[in-house]
Amino acid sequence: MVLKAIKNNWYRFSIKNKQLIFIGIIILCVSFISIYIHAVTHKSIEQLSKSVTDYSRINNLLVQLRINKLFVESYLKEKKDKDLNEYKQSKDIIKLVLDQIEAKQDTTQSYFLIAAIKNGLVSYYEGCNTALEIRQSGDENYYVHFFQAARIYEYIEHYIRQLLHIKLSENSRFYDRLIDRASIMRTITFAGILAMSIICLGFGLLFSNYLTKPVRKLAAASLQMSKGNLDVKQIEVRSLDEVAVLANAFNKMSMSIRRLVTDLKQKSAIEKRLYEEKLKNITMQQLLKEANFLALQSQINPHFLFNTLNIISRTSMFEQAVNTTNLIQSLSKLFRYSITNQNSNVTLTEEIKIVEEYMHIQMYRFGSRIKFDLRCDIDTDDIIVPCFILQPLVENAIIHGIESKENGGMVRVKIVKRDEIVLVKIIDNGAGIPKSRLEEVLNREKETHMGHTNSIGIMNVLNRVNLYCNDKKCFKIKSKVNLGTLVVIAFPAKGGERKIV
Amino acid sequence: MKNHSLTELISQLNCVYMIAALEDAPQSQELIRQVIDILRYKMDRKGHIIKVSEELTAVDNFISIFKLRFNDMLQYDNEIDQSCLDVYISHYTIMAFIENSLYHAFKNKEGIWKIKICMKKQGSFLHIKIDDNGSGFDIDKYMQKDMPDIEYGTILSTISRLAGYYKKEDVIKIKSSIDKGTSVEVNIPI
Repeated sequence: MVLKAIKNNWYRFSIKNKQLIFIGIIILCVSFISIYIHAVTHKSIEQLSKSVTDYSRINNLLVQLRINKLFVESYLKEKKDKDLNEYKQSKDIIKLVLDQIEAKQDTTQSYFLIAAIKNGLVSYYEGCNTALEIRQSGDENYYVHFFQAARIYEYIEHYIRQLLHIKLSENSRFYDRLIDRASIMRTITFAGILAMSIICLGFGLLFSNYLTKPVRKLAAASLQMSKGNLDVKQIEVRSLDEVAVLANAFNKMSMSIRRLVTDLKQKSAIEKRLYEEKLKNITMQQLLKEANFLALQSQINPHFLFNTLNIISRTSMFEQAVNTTNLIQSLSKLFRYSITNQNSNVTLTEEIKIVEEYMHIQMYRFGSRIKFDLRCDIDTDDIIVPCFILQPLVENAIIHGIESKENGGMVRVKIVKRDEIVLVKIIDNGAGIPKSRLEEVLNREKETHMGHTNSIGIMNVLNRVNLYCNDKKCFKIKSKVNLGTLVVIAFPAKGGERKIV
Repeated sequence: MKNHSLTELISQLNCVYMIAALEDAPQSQELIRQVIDILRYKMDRKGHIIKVSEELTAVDNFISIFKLRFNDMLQYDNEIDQSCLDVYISHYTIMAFIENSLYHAFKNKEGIWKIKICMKKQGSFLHIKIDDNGSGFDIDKYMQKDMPDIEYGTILSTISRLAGYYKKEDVIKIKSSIDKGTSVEVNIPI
């Protein structure tokens, strides 16, 4: 549970704090190790110094004892008072040292030895005192006592030496143990340092990785974005520190940039489509205007002409000129179709009617020079086509083809239905279109012709047909010079509406 | 395209003309002839210099067709000095105003519509006067019209065309007031 709490909090720390924590931990560990080593070393040194003190004390005892004996010998020889005082002082020193040693003794052997030394000392002092007294009094028999004391002195020295020996061997055992422990300590230390280094390194790597990984991800993603690749993945960061802030901000930005770009693209696509639609409409309008031949350019007021034709028609009816009336009425219908039909799309039926009116007039002009044929087996009421398609093409066939022929000119219009396509064919056996001219027409090269304006007529029709079919190629022209021409236009059988433009 | 179809129309009308002759319909013939003449007059003549007589023929044709439509409501007079007939003027000089009158001036007019053309030589000028008793129009407003393309045959275009041709600003003077008719004076230097 504590771990979980730590983990949660870990993610919340800022990078600076995380680094500080990490460094703090390392310092702590290193300090801990040093302190431990230090403590152990210190303890060992203490113990060593303790044993050295023990030796020096015991040694001191030995020395003091010898000094004491020397003082006794000196007084016995020269009977100086100074020596006597020194002897007394020396006794005190010995007592002091012995007490010190006794305080620090810790084995039964040394206890017995010290007891023996004490007892010995008592006897030795007895002997020395007696000898010194006898000497003081001027007697010459002090030697006996002194020799006794000397003999006890030897024993005491022996005991002291044994004590030293014991101490030495104790300490040498202790010292061996110390050496062992020291080498173990050294191994532990090395291992500890190694382990610490590895941990530190590993931790350091992990930590820096942990820090730099999101930064690297961020950098890579930013690079991608700057190159124009906007499809970078979201960056996931588990922590809650500054890097997380960066990553989140980056994610938000990249998302909104993506959204903006998509929106822009959509918008521009829509605009493009709108523009294309507009263009199409304008083009259609322009072409219609072109096709509307009795436009204001020629200064013919259409209403004027229309009304005039009506007057003529009435007059000829009144004069009972039947053919004249029919012809004028046909002309009138043709004309009316062209001025009132600002619709861009009409039914095929209407187009056919107009062609028939037109041909009616032309028959009068050309008489037997031309044969006209219209074959249509299908219901044309439902088929929607652009207006002014059929008549101009038939007119073109007549002008271009038949006018040059003396006899036997033929124009045929054939309308068939194949699957869902309606094919409108205009066939003539006239002069044909030379290949170069045909190519120009098919490649839709607009030329300003001063003389023969017929090709512009076809051009206009074909342009509008193309617009109607949304620029899919839907017409075919085949022509051989002096043989004839075939124009085929394909319309969809369904779709389209009679539109008023 | 336009001229071609006009040509087509003219040739078709010619055809009808001949049939009317065959069927013995003189009035129809006359009408058809007039229409053909007007079409020919309008076709391919833009800005050309033609004789006064040609211009007047076109005006006559035009007015007689209009007369047919409106029976006797239209009254046309002219006082033309014979010496003027051979003078050369610009195409549509008179026709522009006649057309304008016939199309616009008599829309709401009650009573008889009158058009009069007077033409005589005055010193080194050919003086033409065209009057109608139509509804008139606001001259100043019209003259201030700023159209990007001035259609051929309108008053504005005719004025600018003539002014440009004769290098004078006041070749044409128009006086018009609402409901009081229009009077046009054209002074052509000869």
